[in-house]
Amino acid sequence: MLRLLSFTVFLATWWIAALLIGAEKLPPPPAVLTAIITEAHSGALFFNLGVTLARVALAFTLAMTLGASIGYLMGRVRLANRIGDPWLILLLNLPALVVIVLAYIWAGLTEVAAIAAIAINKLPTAVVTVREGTRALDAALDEMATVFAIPRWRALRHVILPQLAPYIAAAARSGLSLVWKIVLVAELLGRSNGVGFEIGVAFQLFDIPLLLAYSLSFVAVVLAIEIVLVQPFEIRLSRWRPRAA
Amino acid sequence: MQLEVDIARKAFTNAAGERLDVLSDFSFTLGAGEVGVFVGPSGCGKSTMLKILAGLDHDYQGRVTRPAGARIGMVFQEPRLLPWRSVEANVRLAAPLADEAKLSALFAVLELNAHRSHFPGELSLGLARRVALARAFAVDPDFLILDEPLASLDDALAARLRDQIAILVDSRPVMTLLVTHKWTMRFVSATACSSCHRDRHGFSPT
Repeated sequence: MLRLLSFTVFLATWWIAALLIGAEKLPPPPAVLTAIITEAHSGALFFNLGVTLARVALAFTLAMTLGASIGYLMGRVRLANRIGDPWLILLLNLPALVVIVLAYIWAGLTEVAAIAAIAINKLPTAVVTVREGTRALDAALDEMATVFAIPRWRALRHVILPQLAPYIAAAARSGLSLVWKIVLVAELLGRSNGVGFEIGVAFQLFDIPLLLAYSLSFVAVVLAIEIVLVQPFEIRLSRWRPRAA
Repeated sequence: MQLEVDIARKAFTNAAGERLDVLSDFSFTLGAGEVGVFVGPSGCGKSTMLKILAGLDHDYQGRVTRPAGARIGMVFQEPRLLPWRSVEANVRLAAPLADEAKLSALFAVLELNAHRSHFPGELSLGLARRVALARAFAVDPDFLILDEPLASLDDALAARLRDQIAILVDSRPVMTLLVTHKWTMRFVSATACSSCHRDRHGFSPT
């Protein structure tokens, strides 16, 4: 109910602002809705959203898997941390645009380059978060697993991973929002489809209804994924806590 | 099945860089069915010794021969349960081969039947200690290590738990090592006894 109210307030503000500013700069909601329907009708909207989503899924999975593995290693092994730390600081502070442009120059305007560039942008934050989690692992539980001769993979699955879960969830949460932002830039600069590409086209043609149509559809998808996938996952992870914050 | 322990020296280096001898010239043997009890004031190295015997600490001078392939069941000073697994799942993680009948009997002896599906965060410390005991016994240990299993419990509960431990130890041919700071344990089968005192050489049998 509260959410519906806040959505209505948003629509009303938009509409009033559109009337004040003028439709050529800020089209009112019906104009944007028409653009969304047109794009949906031709199938272009779903195609571009799908392409973008696929890139997000691939880059996110790649970055999380690699990042969690590297972070765990750096948290456990001193030498790995000393070797990896300068790289980590470099990657953490490298602007996303530099990574994307360099990836396109070195690997061509390809799908691989786009996904790799997005993944590299997300990787260091995942590494840092999971490394912190690994450093906070309870040595007492490790000893327990050793004494009871719990096999290595079972211990990893049932003793280590649950301790890392809040950190992995935090890395996933911040990482996903980062990926949403970067994927459009990568598409704008070097792909010929996807939401980012369409927004670039709309920008060049000054087609503001089209621009808003894609932006809002994209935001809607992000929100849906957040509510349907991310939040239930976080609740499931923390269900053993007596009082989850 | 025999445990042979001959520790020449065990020292810690503290944060200030000073070496501190904890154990020196300490040896004993323990056979199957025997219970070794270590009594001593807190801080005299009892837990350090248990860590070495459990194979958790390899940084010492001397020799410890454990029977090959011996299953260890250990009760730590703290319960050390996994908070995200229920009581039963905690026990089953350590003892995946334990059958239902055996677990039921164990939970019955330790009066844990009502708490099988509870999470450790919902248990009192006394209950959590009993779960740790259940876990140690569920693995069918050849070598049972109990590090102050009754610490910080009130007398009545400690007495009940003591009896329960005695029943379980008597029913199995295990080597048992027990550490306590109070000489209040009464084990029918206790055959090997040691106590320690704090002196300039640290931990030594008397």
